[in-house]
Amino acid sequence: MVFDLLRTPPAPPFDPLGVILAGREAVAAALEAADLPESGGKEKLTGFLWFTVGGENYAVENQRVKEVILPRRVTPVPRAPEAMTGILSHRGAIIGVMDLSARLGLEETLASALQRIIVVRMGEGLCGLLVNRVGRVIMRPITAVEPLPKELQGTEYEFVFGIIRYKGAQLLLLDLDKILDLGVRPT
Amino acid sequence: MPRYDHDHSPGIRDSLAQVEEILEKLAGDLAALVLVSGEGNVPSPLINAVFRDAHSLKGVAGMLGYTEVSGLAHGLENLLELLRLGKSPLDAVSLEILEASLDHLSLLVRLSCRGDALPDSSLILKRIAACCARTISLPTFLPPVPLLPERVAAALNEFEKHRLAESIRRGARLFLLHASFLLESFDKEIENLMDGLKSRGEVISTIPTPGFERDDAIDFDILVAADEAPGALPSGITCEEIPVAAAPAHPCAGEPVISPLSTSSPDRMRSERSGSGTVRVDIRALDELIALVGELVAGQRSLGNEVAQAIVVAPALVKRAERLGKKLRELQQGVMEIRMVPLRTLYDKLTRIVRRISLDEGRNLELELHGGETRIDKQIIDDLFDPLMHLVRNAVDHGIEGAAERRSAGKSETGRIIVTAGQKGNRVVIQVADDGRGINLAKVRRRAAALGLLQQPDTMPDPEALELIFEPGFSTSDVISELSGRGVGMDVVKNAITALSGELSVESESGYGSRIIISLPLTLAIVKTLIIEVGGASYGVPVSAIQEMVAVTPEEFVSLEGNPWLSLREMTIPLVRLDHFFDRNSAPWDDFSGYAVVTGTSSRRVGIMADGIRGEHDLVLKPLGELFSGVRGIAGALDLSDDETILLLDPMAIVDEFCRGGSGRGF
Repeated sequence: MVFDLLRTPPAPPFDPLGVILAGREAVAAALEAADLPESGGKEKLTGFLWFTVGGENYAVENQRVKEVILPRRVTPVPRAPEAMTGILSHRGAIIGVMDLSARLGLEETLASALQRIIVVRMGEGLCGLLVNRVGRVIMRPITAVEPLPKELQGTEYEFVFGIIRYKGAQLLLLDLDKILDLGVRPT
Repeated sequence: MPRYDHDHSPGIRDSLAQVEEILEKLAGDLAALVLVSGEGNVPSPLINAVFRDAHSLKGVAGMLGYTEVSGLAHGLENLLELLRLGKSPLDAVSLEILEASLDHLSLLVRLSCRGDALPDSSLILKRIAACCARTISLPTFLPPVPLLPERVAAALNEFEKHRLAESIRRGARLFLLHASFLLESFDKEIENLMDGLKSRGEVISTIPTPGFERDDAIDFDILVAADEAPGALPSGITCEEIPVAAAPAHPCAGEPVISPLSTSSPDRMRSERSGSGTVRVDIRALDELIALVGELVAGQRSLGNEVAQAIVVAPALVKRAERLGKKLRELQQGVMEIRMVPLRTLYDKLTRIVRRISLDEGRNLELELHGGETRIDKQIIDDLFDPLMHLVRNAVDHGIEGAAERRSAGKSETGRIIVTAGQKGNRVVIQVADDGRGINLAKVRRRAAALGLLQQPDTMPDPEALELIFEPGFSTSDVISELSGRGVGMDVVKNAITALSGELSVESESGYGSRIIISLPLTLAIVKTLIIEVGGASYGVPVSAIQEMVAVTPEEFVSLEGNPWLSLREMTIPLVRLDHFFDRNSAPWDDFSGYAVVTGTSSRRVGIMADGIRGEHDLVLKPLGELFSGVRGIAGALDLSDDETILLLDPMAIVDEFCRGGSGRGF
């Protein structure tokens, strides 16, 4: 079920500008047009932002997403909870950055030019989720969210709320409230 | 019992802010009234002010659906109406009820905002009604009534008639002024005129009359009671004296009440004008503005660093960048100023509390307040009231002796509590002093020994022993007096002050009194920060928490039982290596040369070790957010430049933790 989003050929090793441009292009392409619903009904559509972490496909409700930013210098915070890599300052606000792969208990991924930070709203504040790559916004009626299949249930899917299908792939819809509640731990 | 839902919609929030503001004003006006009324005269402008406050409160509370609040405000308004018309006496009884009502109102508002269950208000309403019933019998002698022109006599309301009669009874002369002002500037001009008139007498009524001569002007009849004729008047203002007839033309009371807040009332006009001088701002909107300005300053700092490199090719550019930076810092300061509130608001509340204590407990107390104009961050003011109240309460309960004891000690029977405030650099220092018996050091030592706080209490120097009263569990009731321990433990006060980045110290002289000294930052939003480097990372240390900074040479560096110490002027100070402090698994280290930033209190000093010092900046403090809420030792984040954010240390928390659990951390 691993669906590879990384279709873009790897950037040439000694061309930093190329890396930057490729990254920008990918984000722009991903965000520019929302994909059309596969069931062309009259139902109200909800946007889901598709992204990958640790080789898996995930999605969050786009309504919760404030913006997607490029990774930047993160200031580590001592004694912070394990998944919290630190803080960064964006538009004057301090944003805690969470390494989503650590939070989901996935293997650590190496830094790449495609990494992004998805800034999501959390109460009155914001939190940044470090992900491997951001895809596009997928429009679906909320009824298209399927419950998690029985065979996938278990502690590993503690943070997964449901499944959305997109071009034959399964996107795991994350329960952001659980993700951001550091009292909830993956087992 | 009614319950109200907690509603955060902006409209409601604004109204709530307004209710709090009115309450604050009510408290201030009432405090002023209490102060002046002791001198035996009826300060009509002050009663009017309190009356208007109660009236506005009734309106806003009613709008919010706070029926209990508006009901009580209504009762208060009734009483004030009688007081200002002189129908009910303004004496100790009515003042006491006014103050009790204010306390109850504050409680109701606080609980209503939170949506908590409300206490019963029927008792206070009954007391107000009883007070209203104490009407003054009308004087049998009716004062002479002046021969006023019909248009003026008809426009006077009952209150104005009452003041008129009062003035005549006092033997004042009456003058009727007629003034014509241009519409575009009349508010300013009439204010100036009023100020001039009030300094000489009492303005009884200001009655707008239609101006017949010009379309762009408005005319006023102004009735003034004074001992002598007004001096030189601006051109266009005429003045005639109204002869006072010997016989009463009509009774001065018992007539139907004319609404005191009719639109033509001068009081009304004044209140609206004074209100327009201020703007109410949501503190969150202001914080956003401050954050934005802070960002600009950080951006300018990075730009400045880059531009500085161009000094050879473009010196003008560098100069301009510097000038821009200077302006930006001024802007930052200006925006910060908006958050500053005078301490006077707290003083008014303290006045009422001390008054309440003297009445309830029959104590002879005097509260002296100085420096009410000192301004401090609104956020700090809000959290400062409880500790200040506790200190005053403690002074009364434990410091000031009973009347007999004071007499035998050769002191005046009236116990004095003196609160002073003033700005010292970027700190505000507040002192709460009393002239009571002082703190009994011998008892403090005994108590400390009993609590196991120190092994050899007798060898501890006096100033340090005094500081022991701030230790948790150190109940002052046993130590300082035999009076019931209604006071709060000083550790609670200390915690509250420490949470505001403040410091607390105590001085005392047996038989002469004690003094608690609080030192607070002017604001919590901007911090003067020393930037240090530790193990490759940068941290900020609030300059206010730094006692001194010393360069450490290997000779001054001592190792005791494997822990690093600094020997400094015959003292040894434990050293903290931050990376080790925060993470005990971090690599050990053998030698050190660098700096020690000494912080803590006089009794508990700790040196924070730094490899390097990067300089000092004024920086905007930002919270880390709830995801880091459990992290101790870090006070927040600071933007150093566009792409560098550092952490601000919380030195007090570090000292506390270090002194408590130092041994377990392998230091």
